[in-house]
Amino acid sequence: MDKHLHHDPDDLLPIGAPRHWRSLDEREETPEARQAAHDEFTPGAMNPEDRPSTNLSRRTFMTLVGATTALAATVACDKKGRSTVVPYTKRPLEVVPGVANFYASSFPEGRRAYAVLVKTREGRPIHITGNDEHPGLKGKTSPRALADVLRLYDPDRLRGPKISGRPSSWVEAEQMLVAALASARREAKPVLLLTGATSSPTRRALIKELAAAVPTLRHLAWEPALGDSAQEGVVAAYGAPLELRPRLDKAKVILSLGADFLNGEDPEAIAAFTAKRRPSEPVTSMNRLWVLEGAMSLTGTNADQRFPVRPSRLAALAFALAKELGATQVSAIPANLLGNEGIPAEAWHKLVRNLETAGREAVVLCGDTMPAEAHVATALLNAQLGSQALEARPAETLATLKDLEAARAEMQAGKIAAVILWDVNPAYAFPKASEWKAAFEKVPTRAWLGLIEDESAAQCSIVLPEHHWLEAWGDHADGAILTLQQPTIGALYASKQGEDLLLTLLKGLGSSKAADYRAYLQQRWQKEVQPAGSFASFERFFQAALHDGLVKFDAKPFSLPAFKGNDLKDMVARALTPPAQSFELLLRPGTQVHDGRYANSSWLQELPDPITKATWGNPVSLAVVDAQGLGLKDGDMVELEVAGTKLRHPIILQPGQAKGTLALALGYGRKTGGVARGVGFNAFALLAMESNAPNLQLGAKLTKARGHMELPVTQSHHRMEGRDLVRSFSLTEFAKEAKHHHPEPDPATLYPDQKFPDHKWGMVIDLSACIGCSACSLACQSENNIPSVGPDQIAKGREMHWMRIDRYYEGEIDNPKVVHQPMLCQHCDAAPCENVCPVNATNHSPDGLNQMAYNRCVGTRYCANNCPYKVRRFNFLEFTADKVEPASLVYNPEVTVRPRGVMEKCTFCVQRIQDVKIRAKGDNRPIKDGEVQPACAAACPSAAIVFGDLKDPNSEVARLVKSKRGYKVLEEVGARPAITYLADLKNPAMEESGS
Amino acid sequence: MELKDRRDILGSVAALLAAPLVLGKKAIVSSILQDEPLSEPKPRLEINPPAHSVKRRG
Repeated sequence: MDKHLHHDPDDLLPIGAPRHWRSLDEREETPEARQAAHDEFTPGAMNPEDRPSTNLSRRTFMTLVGATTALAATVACDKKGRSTVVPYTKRPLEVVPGVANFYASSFPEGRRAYAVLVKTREGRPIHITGNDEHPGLKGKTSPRALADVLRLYDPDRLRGPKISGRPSSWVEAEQMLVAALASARREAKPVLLLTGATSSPTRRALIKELAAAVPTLRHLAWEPALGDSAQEGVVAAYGAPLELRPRLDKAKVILSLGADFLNGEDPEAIAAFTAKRRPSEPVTSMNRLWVLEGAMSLTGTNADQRFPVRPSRLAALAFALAKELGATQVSAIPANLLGNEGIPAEAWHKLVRNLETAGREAVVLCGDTMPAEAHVATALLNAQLGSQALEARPAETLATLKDLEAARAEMQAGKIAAVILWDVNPAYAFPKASEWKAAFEKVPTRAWLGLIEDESAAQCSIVLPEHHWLEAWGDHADGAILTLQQPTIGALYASKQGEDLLLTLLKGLGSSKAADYRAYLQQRWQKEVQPAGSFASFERFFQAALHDGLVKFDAKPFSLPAFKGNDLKDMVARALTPPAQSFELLLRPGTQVHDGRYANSSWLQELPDPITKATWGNPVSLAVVDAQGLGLKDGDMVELEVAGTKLRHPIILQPGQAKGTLALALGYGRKTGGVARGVGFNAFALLAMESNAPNLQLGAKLTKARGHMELPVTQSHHRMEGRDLVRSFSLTEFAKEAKHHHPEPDPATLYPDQKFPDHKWGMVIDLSACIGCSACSLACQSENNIPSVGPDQIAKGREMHWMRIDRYYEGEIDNPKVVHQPMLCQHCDAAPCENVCPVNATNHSPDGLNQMAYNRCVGTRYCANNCPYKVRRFNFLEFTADKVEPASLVYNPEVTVRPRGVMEKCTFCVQRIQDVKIRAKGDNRPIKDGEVQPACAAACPSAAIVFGDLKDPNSEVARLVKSKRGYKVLEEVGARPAITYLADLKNPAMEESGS
Repeated sequence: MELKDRRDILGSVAALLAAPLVLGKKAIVSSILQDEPLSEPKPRLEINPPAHSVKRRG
């Protein structure tokens, strides 16, 4: 019998500090941590206090039973409630009941748009994936695009136009706006059109036309969370606003200066980066990522070599690097700069050598929120290296806070005749919001166009509902690709798309003839997009483009312009400004809610932050050493004072954060929206209006305040007693490990072997490729009708995500290494959950799935108690079944909606497996390898999740399970899981000899 | 169980079972479950397929 079956229980207690840890308590092995590990579940998870309290006596109970029986007997034979299922009398041609339709479209977000594929059932969009025709995205997309199907069915959406608070009609609203614009044109008074950024050339052309019709129209495109410093820096470096995109397939060495390019927003960068991190064996080469940053970012967690540095010092360090690489323009940089920055001289030397050696195959990336001088220094470095791994695209000029302040002053002076706000919310996101609101009140005509009434809509006399992007037309430039956006559902409410409103205004002013925006888009495409001399008719060309979702051009990628380096001396001087003795506050766009536009999405609010694992809020993160100095612990309230503005916030301790640095996410603290209202704190008020780096506030003061807030953090839930769950090696360590590698024999078991006649489904997860972006978790939520439960339930450990991303730290608190590990049902062949279910609700399928019969489950929760992986989720309350339209329209009809009292967990997307089986059977062919894609594997931008048939020896998954990096979590328990993890690999420079 | 309690329970159950016979089933049903809704039911959302869009597969 296997030695593991003879465990002494004392062996489970870790000896000394564990190698991997998830929270500070776990690292220090505090009594609380030991107790929590012993208790298994979060205190409160199993408490029945949510049940209504009652003093029901036996007599009352019997009376009620009698009454219920009598009533049931009386009304049971009533005909009420019967309904008839009738087929369509006029079935829409497109819709076949029970069969999903897929439409190619685009998800627009500021300057970016993501080509996506939208799955619809019976006319309802229910799931979003990337467009597989896109050569860069290859079927992947951003987590926020995946989640945005929920906003389509947001019950808070505005359903019809309003004028001065009363329901109105589009005709009346449009007439009022046309009259206001005509009067402004006549009197030569300025009109302000304030919008978000766009990547749509046709929308830009339309706004240009409107500006020609109303010469006093001023258009400002504003992205409040990004800050102005990147644009200022890029203009100073290259002479024009550009959008810089990394091309990491061409990079061997990457240096990030506070750039979070792996945060999920750029699936192409993630795919290219991780493609060079899944080495074949024996390991020959890997790319190397150096990260210098203040606050721990997702990119920082994936670094091979990371050093915490205050954000204000990054520019000076980058100029010092440029000097080391031979730049003569930066002679003012002192030689002893490194001394104070916490980077060991040896590491610095290796970084310089690494960059020098890689040359054109090295690239330096700078974070959007970093100061302008850091962007100039980055551009100088890339010019010195001659980097090939950067693509520059022309970009529209974004409005800065100074532009908005100038507009506010004009409004205050009563100069502006009308303001149209379109997808922007200055009453929330402008730092001096109350001053903005006071000035805005002085504008005679105030119109708002958007999805959900927000803080700015409250001040507008004309409030207009906009189509969700899944109901609208559009096009978006994406390098050498033009993507199309088409409706995937008819408008749910009396809304219009913004461009149609502009067209109506143009018509009212006598300047346009296009019937609607679709016609306008087609006309422009016919004139400017269809290749000249094309033999196909335009209709055919456009239909083909709609089918594919995009058209590709043979244009060369935009290369990086020459470095101009205007004001370089000034920039160097700025970079050398001595650091403030107080705290530096870094204000970043919220990973999930961005600038607050997604704050009403419960999926995104509940998705744990990839690093802190905090949900439903934005605590201030600070270095552990700083917190200890101030006597603070997680959830303590602090008073944060920046330039006279004071805010009370809870804090969270963040290992790896630079000393003296605070980080805070923007996009929280909304005052409107059923979900968003009151979640977190609005940090926009802390932006530095006058600075050239608005998102970096120097001179912040932090003092302990009274009070404590219980943070809904998931990082310590579902612990597994410090066992060896995650494996991480450096290349050198792995080379040694691989020599002695031999596959572990299956532990002995008392249960008979399972038989799998046709298929044995299995999964491989490559921890070296997983970056922890959580796209898988969101895709799973969307595919499997997983509910959001809210912060109170999260605090009790009752989150429902079938797939969680465990984040492990390794090493010292001030600069730990990080490994992300997706954890889901392991579909064990000897599943401990199956043996304890008293009603056989969970059992094994003939193709290796650990399956659930929901209507058989009686909710004993024995299975959850017996699961070593803690991946079973129990519906403690009615989270899903009480949802009504429109919220219920997002449900996938192929997956049962689970009521209260039922256990649930990952099914390996059994509905997708069945769908493929049926198709293959219909075609009379075997299932192809890779044909079955669970939602998580389909969404993973780094292709870290591989799913397939383990019985097929030629399948990718069968090949990967034999990898020397392969291991099974808790193999010693003998559960025989169907998921194999491949150990994480890092490529640190400090272990290399020589360079 | 005491005799009084048993009598109470049996009395309640008997009364409830007898009620439909005395009052009529319809009267009880209509008093508990309103035949006519109190307010207009919320209209269901109309789901229309998109016009002019081109599907990829289905």
